[in-house]
Amino acid sequence: MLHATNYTLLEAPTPDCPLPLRVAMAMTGRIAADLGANVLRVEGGCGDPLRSVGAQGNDDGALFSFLSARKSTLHMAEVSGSALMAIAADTDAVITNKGLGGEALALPSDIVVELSCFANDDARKASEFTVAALAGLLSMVGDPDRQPLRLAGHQPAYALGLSAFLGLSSALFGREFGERAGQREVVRANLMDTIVWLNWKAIPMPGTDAEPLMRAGTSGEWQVVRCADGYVAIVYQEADWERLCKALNDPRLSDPALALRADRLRASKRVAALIEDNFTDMSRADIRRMALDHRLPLGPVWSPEELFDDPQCTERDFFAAAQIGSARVPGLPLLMNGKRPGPDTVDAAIIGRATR
Amino acid sequence: MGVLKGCRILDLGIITAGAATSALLADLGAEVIKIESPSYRDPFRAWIPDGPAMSEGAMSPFFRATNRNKRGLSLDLKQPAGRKIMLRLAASSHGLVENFRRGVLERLGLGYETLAGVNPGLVLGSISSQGETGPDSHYVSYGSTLEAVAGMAWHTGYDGDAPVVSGRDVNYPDQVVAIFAASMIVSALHEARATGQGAHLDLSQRELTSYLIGETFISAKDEAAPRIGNADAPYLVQDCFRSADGEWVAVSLEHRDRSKLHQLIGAPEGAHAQQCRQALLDWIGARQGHEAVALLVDAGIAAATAMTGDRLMSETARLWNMAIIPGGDDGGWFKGFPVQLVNQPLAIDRDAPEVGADSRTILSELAGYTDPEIDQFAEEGVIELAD
Repeated sequence: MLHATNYTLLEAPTPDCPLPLRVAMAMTGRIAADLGANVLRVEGGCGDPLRSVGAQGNDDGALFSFLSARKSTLHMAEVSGSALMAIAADTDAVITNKGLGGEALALPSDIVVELSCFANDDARKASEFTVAALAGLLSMVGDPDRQPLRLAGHQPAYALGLSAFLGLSSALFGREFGERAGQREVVRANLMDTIVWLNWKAIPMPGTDAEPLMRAGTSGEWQVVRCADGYVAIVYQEADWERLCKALNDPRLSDPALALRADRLRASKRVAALIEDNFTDMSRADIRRMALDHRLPLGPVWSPEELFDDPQCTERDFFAAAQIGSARVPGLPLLMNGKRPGPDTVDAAIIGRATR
Repeated sequence: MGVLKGCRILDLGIITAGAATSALLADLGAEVIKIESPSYRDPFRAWIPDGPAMSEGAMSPFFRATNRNKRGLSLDLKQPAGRKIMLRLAASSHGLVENFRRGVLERLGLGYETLAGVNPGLVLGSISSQGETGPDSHYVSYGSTLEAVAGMAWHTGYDGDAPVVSGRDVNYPDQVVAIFAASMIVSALHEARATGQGAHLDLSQRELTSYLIGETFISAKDEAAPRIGNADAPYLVQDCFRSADGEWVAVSLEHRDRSKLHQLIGAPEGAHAQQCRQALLDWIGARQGHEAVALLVDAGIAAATAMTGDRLMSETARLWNMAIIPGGDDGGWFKGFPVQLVNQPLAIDRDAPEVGADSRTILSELAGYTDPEIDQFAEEGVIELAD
């Protein structure tokens, strides 16, 4: 437990809260809980819609299980403004969403974090997928001759959760030490701004008239190719090319026609095919070793299940401190003075437990 | 006015991950000093966008975006005098951000133990690809390398096809780490201010990337196909469909939306996923993209055109207001903020510094050196002064 994170945060989505904002809110709370904050989830009589996402049978889905770890749940028959007002009065911070009218509840906490899908009061129905489309991120991933592609998981909502946590931690700092110490602060973040911020390089730079950036996929410089037991991402910058050629020791890569980056870009499919040919007999473990030996940024594609036994994850106890029932999940991606913050063990019973 | 006003951060961050982290701290009001070496600049200074050359000598827009609000110091940390200056600055600072290759800071004689020796309250934020420790701590990586090794690429890709990474122009883990790392540094600054004890933060981008697909580790043993394109629970259908005018229309259709789809396009009542998908494919394929989106949105179905970056400023600007901020010369813009504080707003108060722009002021005002001493440092190549 950190002194600075010894606070109480209330997660208070409105009953009509859009799903992406519920996910974002839960991610903000998850980080706070991992750092040692007391995080209270409000759950109405109909249950949290997150429970059923990806669920099989009556069990909670993996998304809910991951995001609700280390939190306490306040069950309320009906989530009403007056009930939330009473609870929020005893908390340091509340994270909530703007309602469909564009206003958030004026809850009596020192710090109120307000999330929305858009910066304005646009009330259109939105998903993480459609906001990623509007923010240009979808168009950046995948093959140019196929449909735009989303990244795995809930990246738009999780990224909004990170943004909200940055605002929350900053407001907590300001409450103690800022020029307006002790005064109320409102933090605002929205899905659209967060994704545009992440995708900033796609917006043409002032002073240039370069072609707009688009997904390069199988014609791009960085491609994913097959190896003996799976796939590997060929990732490299100009400075890495010589080391890559030396590591592979394939005379075909020394073709003068491939000497310059511009040449290789024009021949990207050929370059990828040549590299893939070299990887035919190499396993991902072999490629990892080669990458380490030759300082190459190659990326063997590991599955989440394989990472439980990955030497890097094992050495750093990345999963060990985050037991949820029989499952294992990543711990907070931070070592502070060599230790991962958070309780040494997690009380599995806390998940979904009602505290009144 | 910023919430971190009064905090001084020494910034050894380069390119995106490190420099963007300290840029966010600067946006929040911290006094951030960007430290480069006479022999090693931030490589972002040399990154010029593809296409027609910018005016000669112009600052790289990538560098400008990730180094606004900072002051500039050019200091050779390999020289004993440079190291001594650095330690003097560290003694009066609250934080230091770095994303060098692992071991570089120690080889410069500036490891955490040394820094804590001159300032026990200092927060050292070390951002690295795979962490300070472990057999892969020296693994060279760019953002998409980490998508592969962290499990994210395993689940990104077209249905039944090969894994996909976000690629060179997104490098997703490099972008997202700045938000997370800045928040962890703020939390540690809070702790340090309250207790007097600083900390060394070991921030692994690979671990963050895995954390951001945390739920997949719970279902890791499921037999489900690893890659399912754009489909995603809880949506009955989610994908992009090509319109008659070549736009990609993104649609997320919930189970309860089927009656809306029936009313709008005549899909069978209670249609299953494949029937809904085919109905959308045919219906959108026969219409202009903007018309299809407008009708779907009016019907209460989540739908949007898949925009490209060049259309964001003109076509979606009313939906966002802080990620990109108009300003600068020639109708330019600054990279803005992913979050805002209403009463102590994040703001951009100064442009990114030229090399060594503030060397003299910083050494004089913050480290207490006299002008003759500063001139001597410049003559010996320990520092660079602005022209």
